[in-house]
Amino acid sequence: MAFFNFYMLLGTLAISIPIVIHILNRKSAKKVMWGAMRFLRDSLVTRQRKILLEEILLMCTRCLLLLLLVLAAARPFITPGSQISWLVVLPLVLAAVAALASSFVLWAHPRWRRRLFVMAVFLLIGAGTALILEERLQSRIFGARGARDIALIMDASDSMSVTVDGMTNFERAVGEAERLVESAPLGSSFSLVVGGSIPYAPVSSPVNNREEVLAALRNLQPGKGSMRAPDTLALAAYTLARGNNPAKQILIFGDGQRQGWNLQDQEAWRAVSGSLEQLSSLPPVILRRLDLPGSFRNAAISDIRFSRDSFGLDRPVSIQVTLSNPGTESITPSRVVLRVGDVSHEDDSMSQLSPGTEQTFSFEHHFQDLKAQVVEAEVEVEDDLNLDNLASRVVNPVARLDVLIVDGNPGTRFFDRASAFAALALAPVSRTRRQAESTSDADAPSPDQTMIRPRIVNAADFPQLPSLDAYSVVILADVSRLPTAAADALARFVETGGGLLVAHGRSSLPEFYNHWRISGENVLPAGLAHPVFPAASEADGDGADPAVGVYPLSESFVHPALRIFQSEPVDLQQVLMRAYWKFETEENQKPSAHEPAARLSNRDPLLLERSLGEGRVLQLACGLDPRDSTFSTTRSFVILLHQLIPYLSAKGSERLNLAHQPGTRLSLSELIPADASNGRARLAALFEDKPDALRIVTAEGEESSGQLRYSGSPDNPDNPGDDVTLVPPPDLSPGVHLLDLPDALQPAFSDLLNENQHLPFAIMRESGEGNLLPLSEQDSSQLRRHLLWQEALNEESLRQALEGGRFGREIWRPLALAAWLLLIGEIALCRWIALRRRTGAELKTEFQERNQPKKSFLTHLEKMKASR
Amino acid sequence: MRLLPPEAIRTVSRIEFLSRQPMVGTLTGRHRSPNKGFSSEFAQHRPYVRGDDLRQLDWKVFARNNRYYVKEFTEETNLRATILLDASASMAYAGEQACRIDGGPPLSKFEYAQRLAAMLTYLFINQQDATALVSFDEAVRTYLPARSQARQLRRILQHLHELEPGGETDLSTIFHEIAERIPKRGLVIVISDLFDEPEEMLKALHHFKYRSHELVLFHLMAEEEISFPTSGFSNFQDLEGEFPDMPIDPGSLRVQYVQQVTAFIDQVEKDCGRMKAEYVPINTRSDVHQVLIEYMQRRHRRR
Repeated sequence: MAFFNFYMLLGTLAISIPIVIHILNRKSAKKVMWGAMRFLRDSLVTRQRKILLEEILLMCTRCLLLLLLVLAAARPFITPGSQISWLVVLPLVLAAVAALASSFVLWAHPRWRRRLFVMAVFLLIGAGTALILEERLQSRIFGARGARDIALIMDASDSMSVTVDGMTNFERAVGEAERLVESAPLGSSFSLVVGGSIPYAPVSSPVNNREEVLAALRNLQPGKGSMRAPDTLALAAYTLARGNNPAKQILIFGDGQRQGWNLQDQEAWRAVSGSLEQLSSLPPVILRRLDLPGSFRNAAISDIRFSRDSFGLDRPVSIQVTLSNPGTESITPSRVVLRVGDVSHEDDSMSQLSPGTEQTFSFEHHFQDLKAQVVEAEVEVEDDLNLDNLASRVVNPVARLDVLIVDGNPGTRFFDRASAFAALALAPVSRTRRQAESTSDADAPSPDQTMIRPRIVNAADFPQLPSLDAYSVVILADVSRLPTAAADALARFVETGGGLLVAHGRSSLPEFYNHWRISGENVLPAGLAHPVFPAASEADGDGADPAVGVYPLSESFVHPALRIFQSEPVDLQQVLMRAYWKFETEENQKPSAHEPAARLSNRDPLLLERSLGEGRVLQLACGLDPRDSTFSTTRSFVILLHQLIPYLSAKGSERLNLAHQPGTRLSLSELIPADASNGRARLAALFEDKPDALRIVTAEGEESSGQLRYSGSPDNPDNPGDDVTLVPPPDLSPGVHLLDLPDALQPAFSDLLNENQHLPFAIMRESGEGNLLPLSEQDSSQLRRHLLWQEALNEESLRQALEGGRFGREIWRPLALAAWLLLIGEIALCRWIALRRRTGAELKTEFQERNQPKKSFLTHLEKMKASR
Repeated sequence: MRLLPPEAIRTVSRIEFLSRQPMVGTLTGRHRSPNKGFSSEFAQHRPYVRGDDLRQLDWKVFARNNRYYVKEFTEETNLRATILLDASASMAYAGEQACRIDGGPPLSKFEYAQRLAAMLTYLFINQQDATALVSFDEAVRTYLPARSQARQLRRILQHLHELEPGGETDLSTIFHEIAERIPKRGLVIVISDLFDEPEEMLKALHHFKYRSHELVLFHLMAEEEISFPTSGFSNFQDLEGEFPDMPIDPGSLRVQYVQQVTAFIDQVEKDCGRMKAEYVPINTRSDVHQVLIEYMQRRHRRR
């Protein structure tokens, strides 16, 4: 609580008036020499407490009445960012005055007088301290006057496009900001920061030229994802650091939506606080919070998910579209449409969607083209936030996925080899079969068309392989051990993004696998403890009963790539495990690392996973051939491998989808197919030209440019410009944008380019913007730990803050009302006391000799007569 | 004389104070005695027994009934009146509404009591009754034993004149002490404001009844003490110095005060009724002569 007319508080001395009157009244008391003190004393014994209570009440009422009048005249106001709530300070002051007033009434009772006086002093000290602290805080926030650097932060998050009272909050914010800039005091310099998922500064250093700021403001558009407040404020601090004025200020125009503030990340906020403290003066951060609608309708496409990470043209892919209702009202959309190029799929099996719930729609699409294609999901609904009704992805089906199967048991017969079943499962279409059935099944892919292309190599020949670059995934099938050099090469392959599946058969040697490390880190998720033979007795005989043995438990297949086993009917229960390895875990491994991706029916882990560098490693407890289990003979085995291999391959089909967050990059190198003609050479050529930027046609049809970042060295012929990445401009909205590649580069990306020779890529919209949960008071108090945080109540108060004035919600009206009520109370109390004292004024004592009997006696006599 | 002006003498001369119960005196007087003897007051007839004085035979009865009866008369004696005058400090209270003599200042309760005592003394001495005066506060200050001579009046008046109120009140102790000191079957007149613990005080009064005294209680109170008029914040100070000062607004206490006083008066009146003592409440607002005349008239009517 602070005061506009602080000096009016001197008027609080007026509360001494009733006290002085009381004291004078006592001092000027008429001296009466009295004989009948006994009756006076006895009367006082019964009445004293009530008299004191009446007097205390009267005195408190009068003092508080004057105090409230003075306080109201001092025009107190509450700032949203006050350190100590006025609900604490005001009662403290009132209680202090009440205690002080009471102490004077109880002057004749020294004990109580002392207690109340001490209490009043303590309360006054408390209230005074609170007021002084508040005054200091306010002067820190509002103290600076005159020329200053002001960072304007415009919240351009998706939620700002919600319409409130016929106008979007963003339009309102821009309007207010414009008026503020126009009416700012002379000498004010402005920088402009746009808050979104990737904050950027259209005016990156404080400028005096208001036209420049106004022009930048008019060009702004909302829909930049979620405002990442810590990043935005850090950028604002950066822009302020470039200003010359010692006084700084940050003004945020936003809807105060909680999304993006990331308040649980204390580290980030400490960093923001640190960067603000490095400025010449700690800038107050003032939020102009625009109203969010109390209730709103919203349906949002929150996710588009593909059933496999990599997919080709060989079979259809399932696309899951998640529709959610982040609004506050139930909503029934008319339909969900999935568009892939010219093909569109619809689902109108809509049901009512309650707030906070979501519904998933499944579509099947068979991609026919390897080019990068736009997949759009749209919900057709009338709601308050349109931006999230459409979600887009850019996918490029993978032409081929080469898998190297290292066979640890190269037997003489094909089906005795450890790799035979895996190879067959990965490429189920044999040339012979294809030829035999070519007439009947025209749609079946030819061997050349299959996406996954396995190649078997004997373990002994593996070290002689010159490079693993051509492969996406390597499978070690019952390999007993690898030479150190080959093991290191394989580990490096994984580190650089390759996938590795290790299937431990009977030949696996724990001495090797348990000590397989690279850079001091284990390559495998777990070591091997000992082999287990659960169905050894049955396995020897022909009458084995799989029902009593151990089998993979489909419910335990929790791995994202294996979820299909939970929804599809599978034949896992028919699997008979004859032998498998029990894993040992190291003590220093994190507990989460032990959580298996799949388990057996006896809860022993079947499949473990870990990430190594940029690649992934999967460890299977059993071999891939029928010696260890009947798994390889089941249909589930095929499904398992076809789910795991694309997962292990880092070259997913969604590489062209970028998260909307700072530091997002599009790696051009990764996009070039391994077998693209002259791909590497062209990239090297691009590298030699070293252009700074590439042209981008944005989703809105405007032109922009993305910065190119180079790494690697042109001197290295094997890896010339290996990492050429595109940094999209920060103001790019979520959606599909087109990258205009130079002509020289186009052949290298020919498989991906659309008909206009543009490379589409998508910036994915962050989910959560549809949830209009505002920053709470608790959040604000958390912000105050890091910032000089303040909330402006309206445009006017923001202008006051800019001119060095103060603002806050004035509370003189309730105080004046309270004073008025106290006045009425005082009058009523006086009347009541007077009435009480007048009651019995007619009382008289009969004190004279009577010739007649007493009235009471006569009455009694009459009653007795009547009763007869 | 200030305490007994001619007007008072005129008033008192017209009346006489007769006891209601038999008194034991030393002289023949106007009051009934418990002894039978010669007087004009017929008491009863009783059969003649040998040794009776023949002069007392009722010959008329013998003539009618042929039986010897002796005629007995109640002996009349003089009265031994003891006036107990409260001279404690609380009696010094006057009040604005008390009666004034010749436009002078209002009489305090003590001055009022002095006049009352003086008139009563004159009354008793005038009818040859022995009169004693006891003045007291927390202890007996003076004790003038009963005499019926004319000079007793002068002594008492002189003493009354010299008395000044002061000291605390301890009625019960005083009453016990005096009840023991004075002979039986006398008239005891108490003139006091009775500002003491009522239970103890009333118990002590019983002592007089036990000693077969006729008890008359003149209870003096000022109008202000009865009605407790409210007139602004006041600091009440005890005349006797027993209680601490009470700075209060009288208005806030009036009802309770009046209730207390009423209860007190009722209690005293009731107890006096029980012990067959005569309770005479006197508001000092009333004229002292008039009060005495009215009281005497009522007394004669009741006798």
